[in-house]
Amino acid sequence: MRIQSVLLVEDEEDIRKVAQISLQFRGGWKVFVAGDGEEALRQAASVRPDVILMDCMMPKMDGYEACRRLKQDPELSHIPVIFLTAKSQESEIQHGLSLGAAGYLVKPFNPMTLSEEIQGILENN
Amino acid sequence: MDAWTQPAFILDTLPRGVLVTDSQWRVQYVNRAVSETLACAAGELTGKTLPEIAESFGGRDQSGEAGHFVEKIIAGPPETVLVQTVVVRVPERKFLRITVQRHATDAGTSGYVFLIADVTHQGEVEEMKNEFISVASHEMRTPMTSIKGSLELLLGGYAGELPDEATELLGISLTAVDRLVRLINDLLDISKIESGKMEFHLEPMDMNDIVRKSMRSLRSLAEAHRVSIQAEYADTLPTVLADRDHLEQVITNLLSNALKYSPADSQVSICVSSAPAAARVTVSDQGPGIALDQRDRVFDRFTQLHGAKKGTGLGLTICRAIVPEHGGRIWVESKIGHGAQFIFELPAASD
Repeated sequence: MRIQSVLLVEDEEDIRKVAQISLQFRGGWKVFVAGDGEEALRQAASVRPDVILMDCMMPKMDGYEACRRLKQDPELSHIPVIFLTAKSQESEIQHGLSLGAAGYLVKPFNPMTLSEEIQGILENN
Repeated sequence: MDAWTQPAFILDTLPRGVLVTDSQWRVQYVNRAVSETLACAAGELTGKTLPEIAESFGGRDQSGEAGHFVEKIIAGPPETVLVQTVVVRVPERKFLRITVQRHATDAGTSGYVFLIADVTHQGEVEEMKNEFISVASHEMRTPMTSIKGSLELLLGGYAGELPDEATELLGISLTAVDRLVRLINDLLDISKIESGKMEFHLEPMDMNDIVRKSMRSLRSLAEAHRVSIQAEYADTLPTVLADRDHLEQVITNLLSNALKYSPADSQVSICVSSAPAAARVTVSDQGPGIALDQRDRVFDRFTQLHGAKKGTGLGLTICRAIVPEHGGRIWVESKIGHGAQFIFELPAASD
């Protein structure tokens, strides 16, 4: 599947900006953004992105809960979710995958290769 | 003999706990400091076995650390001396530094002597320090991610072609940020290992395989330093119980150190061999070597010899923390001017 659009969910504004530029500049994708899990659910329902790149730790609703709810929604459960996580949270990665995530990427990510890595995860799934 | 020169009286005045068991780990004697530290009468301890005592001091939220300690020494009684810090609940939490030593008489009877020091204050300070490092490193990672990402985008041509001078300065910044990221990751690793929060998933492994795999990730570093790596594998080798990721980290750290301290066009060798009841890995370089008085210091945090600022100064500290978690040992042999050999051994897995 060629990715056309991505929903980027990240509460840290600076990181979100860098990731957004990276996905537009390197991937040529249309990038939608959300700052927490609740907003992610609303955005996912309205824009139907090809893939969701989501931080784990966020205010209001964290990435795990948002992923769990997405996977329960028959309208949205087909959208692959990839977690963006800090290295020290590796023990939580298994938790993320058990919720139906397609994979995870580790921070700090390289913005020059981020979109390729996302594409790679989806092709291997 | 006067009362005050009686051994039992002397032992009771010691500030440290002394506990003696027979060869079956049944307690034969405790001095006063033991009953004070564990807050129970000597009569409640003597005659009981260590597993029985550990059970009563395990505590739930420490997942029975006292029990693990007792299991460990019973499974492999120390040939000489073993020192370890153990957390017990009596019922308040106490950190005990326990030294176990085997003792035997000429008549052939033997047992074990335990010296017990209450290091609760030190233990709590250590815990706070690890907690601080962990939180601080986490907080630093977020801005680091955006700085690193921005630099990579600029160098990757996001803002168009840059003048050479700008490219050079951005390159310097990126190298520095990468170093900071490694420092933060290493600090987090150390604080996790030291606070016992690092997870080790031990599985049967072939040391040859792990070395082979670790070699792959170091090829470009070896080329950059113009150093070749010579690997030698063992034909017969005991299986070891190890956490794959952490063992690879040890091998990678040792090899990258060897590369960093090697002169150009020299050789680094890594040799897997079998040792008595263990698998051994030896990493040798042809670098400047390490003086005798520096040998223990190389494993301390932020030690970088020869005035070098080549890494984070934490690589060997991490190795020294990881290897004992596998029941193994790590050490260095070296002669100034004749390179250094870093050696570690992991015990053979019992069938």
